[in-house]
Amino acid sequence: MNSIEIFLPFGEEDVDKKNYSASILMLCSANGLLSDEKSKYIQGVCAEIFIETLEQFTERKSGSVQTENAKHIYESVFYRADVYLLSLGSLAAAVKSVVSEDFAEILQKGSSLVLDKFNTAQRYSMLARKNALKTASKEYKYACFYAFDKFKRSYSARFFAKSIITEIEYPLLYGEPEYSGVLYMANYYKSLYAENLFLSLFRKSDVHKLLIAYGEMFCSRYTDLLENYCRVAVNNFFASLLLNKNGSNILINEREITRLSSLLCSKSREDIEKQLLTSFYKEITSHEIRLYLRKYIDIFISELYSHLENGTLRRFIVACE
Amino acid sequence: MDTSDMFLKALSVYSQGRTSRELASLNEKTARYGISITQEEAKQLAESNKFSLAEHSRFEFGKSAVIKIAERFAESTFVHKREFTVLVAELTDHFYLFKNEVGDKVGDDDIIDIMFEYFDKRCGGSTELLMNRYFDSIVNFEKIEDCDIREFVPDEFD
Repeated sequence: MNSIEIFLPFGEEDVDKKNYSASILMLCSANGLLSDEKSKYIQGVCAEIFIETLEQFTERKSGSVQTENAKHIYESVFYRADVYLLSLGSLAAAVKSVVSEDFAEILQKGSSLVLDKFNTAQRYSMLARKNALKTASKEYKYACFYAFDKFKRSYSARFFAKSIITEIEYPLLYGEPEYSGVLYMANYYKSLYAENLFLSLFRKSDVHKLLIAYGEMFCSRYTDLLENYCRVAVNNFFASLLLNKNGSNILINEREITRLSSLLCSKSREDIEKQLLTSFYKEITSHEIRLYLRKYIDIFISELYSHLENGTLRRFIVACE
Repeated sequence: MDTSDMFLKALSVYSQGRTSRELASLNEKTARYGISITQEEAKQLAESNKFSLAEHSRFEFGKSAVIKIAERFAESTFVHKREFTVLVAELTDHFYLFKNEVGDKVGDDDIIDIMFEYFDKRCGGSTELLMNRYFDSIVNFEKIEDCDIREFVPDEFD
């Protein structure tokens, strides 16, 4: 453990992830981790870069801008630091960097990282597109085929770094990434790629059949429901693994759901978790999918038992045969 | 108040101080038109500029529009020496309205030039006419030909 980690007078919960660097600077300053001299130096560096960016924004022809634009540009300056500090992986490392590194260098490194993140987002958006389902809702199609292009055309890391100017509505398995700007896009498309890759493991007709059955549960077409398709498939996939079915099969019938209920009642939660983990690693060989879905196992087990208790298992696992 | 508000406010205070100092030293440029600005008037102008910026939701970071307007409009044949600072304050307020309309990427000098053209050649020095009659012409940067101002000034200004 890093020594600075032990003495941090604040924790992750005190930091605003959407204003990461500004929030860390304020906390460091308030807790005496930054001297007045260093705080003033950082303010000076930020002010200088901020004014220069405003000059560039107005093409050096104006002495003022709309306050709204000034705020976007202010956020864009700090966004560079956000991207760098978040890339360090922990609050302790971020604090250490703020305290010991030159803030001008942090902003410089952040600028390069913003470009890297843009390239990452682009790479994953192409992969997500390549593995996309062919029949799906317009929200899904928009996310897979159009949203990134719109983002790419309009994104300005220099002036509007936190805006994405594209309306992505298709939800992900774990909900919205908690970041903004290009970090949001990189995270969104990395996740969407993993989800699409997972869906591509199954027969297209099976996925389609499952989604239709899911929609019917709500007396609707699945394309009209703003649901994450990966969640529907992975729930049935995990149920299938617990039932010792062939891993490539996500279609489950009523009898099998009844059998799953009995199984859950006859085995301990730990045994169920162990069985699922073993089967998961046996069936899933892709590193990306493993990495992405591993943390969903805990969520799945909790929800599975909760639905079992509430008698709503058939709302969680979709019967489609 | 979030961190961006605090940061912008801190920079605004710095910017206002600079504007005050620059206004006080404007006399070197306006003297040749027989116009002088007292320290007190400079303070009032800086204060009214601050108010107009807030009123029109603008953040000032560079050379203040109030300075540019004072420098430019000192040349106008319609300026009354005693009312110069009142006029500059009024024009600065109008300038921010024009600026919000045309966007941040249009240069201050371009807007001030066209305001001056209409003020001198069409409005006979009336800021009311400038705003009420020529607002659209100014924000659309419609060129005006040199002409006799009496053709355009309404009766009440004759």
